Order: sequence, then structure tokens, then C-alpha cells
Amino acid sequence: MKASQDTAVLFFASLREAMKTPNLNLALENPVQVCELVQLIATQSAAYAAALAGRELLVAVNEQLVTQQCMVTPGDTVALFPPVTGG
Amino acid sequence: MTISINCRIQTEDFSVTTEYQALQRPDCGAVVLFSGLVREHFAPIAPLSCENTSAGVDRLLALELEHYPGMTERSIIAIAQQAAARYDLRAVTIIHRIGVLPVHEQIVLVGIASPHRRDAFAACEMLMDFLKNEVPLWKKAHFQQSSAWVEAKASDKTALARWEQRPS
Repeated sequence: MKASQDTAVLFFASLREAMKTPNLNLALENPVQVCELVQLIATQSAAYAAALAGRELLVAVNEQLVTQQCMVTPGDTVALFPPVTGG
Repeated sequence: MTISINCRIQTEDFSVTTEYQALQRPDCGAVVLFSGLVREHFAPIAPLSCENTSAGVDRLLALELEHYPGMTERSIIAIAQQAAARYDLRAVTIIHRIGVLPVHEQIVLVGIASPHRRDAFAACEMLMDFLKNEVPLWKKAHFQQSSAWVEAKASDKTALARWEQRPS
């Protein structure tokens, strides 16, 4: 049996407020796609599902912008956030 | 060619004069500086319509800037390196402030030192376009009566597309 490893998921800006938390730790056993990871979070509570629904999300894995199809390996740091508005 | 990249994320204000002096090089005939400020009339979601007179508009007090510590700095250095690969640059300074910034405060500074003005102007514009699209920073607008996260603008995305074509 594989040991699960904590995967940190960070939320920023409007998503952080909607999730009512700046981060979650998920115990992943196997690599998953970013979109699967988002679904996994949504199944944890109705509030998370509502916060994530119908929202344009950008994703960074280990501080690199990636697509929703990118694989997340247990132990990675994933960040989910709305389109950026700096400058 | 060695290039000096100075990237800072900070709550405190910056001095354009100090940054201008720090960018000067004996081999650079051009220094271009851009500074972004918090303006008074800010419509984050919808521009004012004819029916929406100024009496009904909530006045902007401040913008609040949030970032992703670590990734924000790394993203800025990466876009500065991309600009340096494309244009003849000798020094780049990018300062972005975070936290609550009242109206009239400085938000961002992009400074470029280059032997020639064309490269300096182009690199400065390219960096601002990338900064608005690819660097994890978010603005929240605080009005007198309410607050709202600023929505990303389609025009900023369009602006990025022009850098995808290679220069002739």
C-alpha cells in the first residue's frame, strides 16, 4: 500500500474569501490532474463546491502557471486563483 | 550581456528619483520609467452608464493589493528575463507595492536602462502587459460603502497577444 503524502492547496484573492480559508492539505496517494484535484476539493463540502463553481481559475503547481490538465504529484504545492489584476 | 534585474514587492512607497539614478549606466543613453498610480475614478466592474450619475456612485477610497509570496517575485524576474532576451537592456527595475494603497498613491514602477530608446520603450510596455496578465497580483477596490475584487480586463489580455508575434 502506498503512503499518502500531503499536498498543499493555496487559495488567493476572491477565491480565498469564497473558500473562507487560505489553504487546504489533501492526502494524495497518486498523481491526479488539476481538474480532478479541484473536483476532489468540491466533494469535501457544499460550501467548497459553491465557491469553486462557475469560476475562471488559474492554476500554479510549484509556483509555475499550468493548465487544468497538468498532473499534480503528491507533495506538490498547488495554487488556485482568479485571473490576475496587478500592475 | 550582463543585465541587472532589481525586483521588489513592498508595502512602503518608492522614490522615482532614487530608482532613476540607480538605473543610470555609462553605456545607456536611455532610461524609461513607468509609474502606475491609484486613480480617483475607478470602475472595477462596469463603466458608468448615462443613468448612473455621479450621485449614485460609491467613491473609491483605496486599492488593496494581494500577492503570492515567492511566485510573484519569481514571475516578475522571469518576465524581465524574457524582455532582456528580446531587447538590448542593461538594467530593469520592477517595484510593485502590496497592501492598502489610498487614492493618489504609487502602485508600480517599471524602469528600463538601455543603450537606445526604442528598446527601452518597447521593453517597458512589454513588461507592463506581462505584469497585468501573468504575475500573481490581485486588486480589491475599497469604496466608501462597499468593497469588490477587480475583474481582469479583456483589453489587457489582447495587449499581451502583440508580444507573441516576433518583432520584424
